[in-house]
Amino acid sequence: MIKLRENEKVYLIKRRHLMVFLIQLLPIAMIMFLLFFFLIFLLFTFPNSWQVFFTENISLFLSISPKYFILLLFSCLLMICWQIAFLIIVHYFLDCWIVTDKRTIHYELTSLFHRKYSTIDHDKIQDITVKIQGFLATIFKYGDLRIQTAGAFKEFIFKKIPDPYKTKEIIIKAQHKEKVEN
Amino acid sequence: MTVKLILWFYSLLILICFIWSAIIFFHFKRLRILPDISAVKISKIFLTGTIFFFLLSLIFLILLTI
Repeated sequence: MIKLRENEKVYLIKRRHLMVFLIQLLPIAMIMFLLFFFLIFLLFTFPNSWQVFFTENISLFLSISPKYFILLLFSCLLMICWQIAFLIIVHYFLDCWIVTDKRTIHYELTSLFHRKYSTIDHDKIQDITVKIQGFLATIFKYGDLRIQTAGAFKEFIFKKIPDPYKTKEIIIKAQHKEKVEN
Repeated sequence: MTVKLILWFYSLLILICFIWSAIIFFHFKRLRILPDISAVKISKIFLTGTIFFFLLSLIFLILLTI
C-alpha cells in the first residue's frame, strides 16, 4: 500500500481510458462470446452426423457421449478465457496514476503477484507534454502525458489517460502551490 | 475406464482451480493501493466469474457421466 505523507491530499486518480480497456478486452470477449454461442448451439442441436462421425471414428466415444464431452471441453476453454479476461481487468483497475498536492505516484501491476510504484516530487518536474495520437484518441479524448524531471528518474508517462490536458493543468497547479508554500 | 479417467482428470482440475481461485481471491482482497482504494471489487468479480464457469463445466461433467 502507498503511504501518504503527513497532510498530503489526493487530487486525482487516473486510470487508462475506458475505451482503451474495452479495445484490449474485445478480442477475448469475442472468443468467449463465440464459444458460449457455440456451446448453446451444441446443447440444443447436436447434429446427428457429428454423433455418428465421433462414435464411428473415435473409440473413446463408444462409452461416453461426444456431445457432453465437447461441451465440457468448451466450458473448460471458457474458464481459461475468463482467466485471461481477468488479467486485463486487473491491469485496468490496478495500473493507476495518483496526483497529490506534493507528488505524482505511478502504481503498476507488473504481474499478478508483483507490483511496483514510483513517485516523483512536483518540485522536480521540468516539463510536462501531452501527446494525443490517432483517430480513436482524438475522438475519445485520451492520450499520453509525459513528465520530464531533472533527476536520475527522467521520464514519467501517464499512458492513454482521459483528459490529459486537464490532468496537466492540475499537476501544474499543484506544482505552483508547492512552490508558493515552500 | 475412460469415464473414470475423465473424472480423475476433472477432479485434479477442480483442485487446481480451487487453490488458484482461493489464492487470487485472498490476494486481491488484501491488496490496497491507498487506504481507501482496495481491490476487493476485483476479487469479487474474479470469484463470481470463476464460480459461474466452473458450475457450467460441472453441469456438463455430470451430464457426461450419467
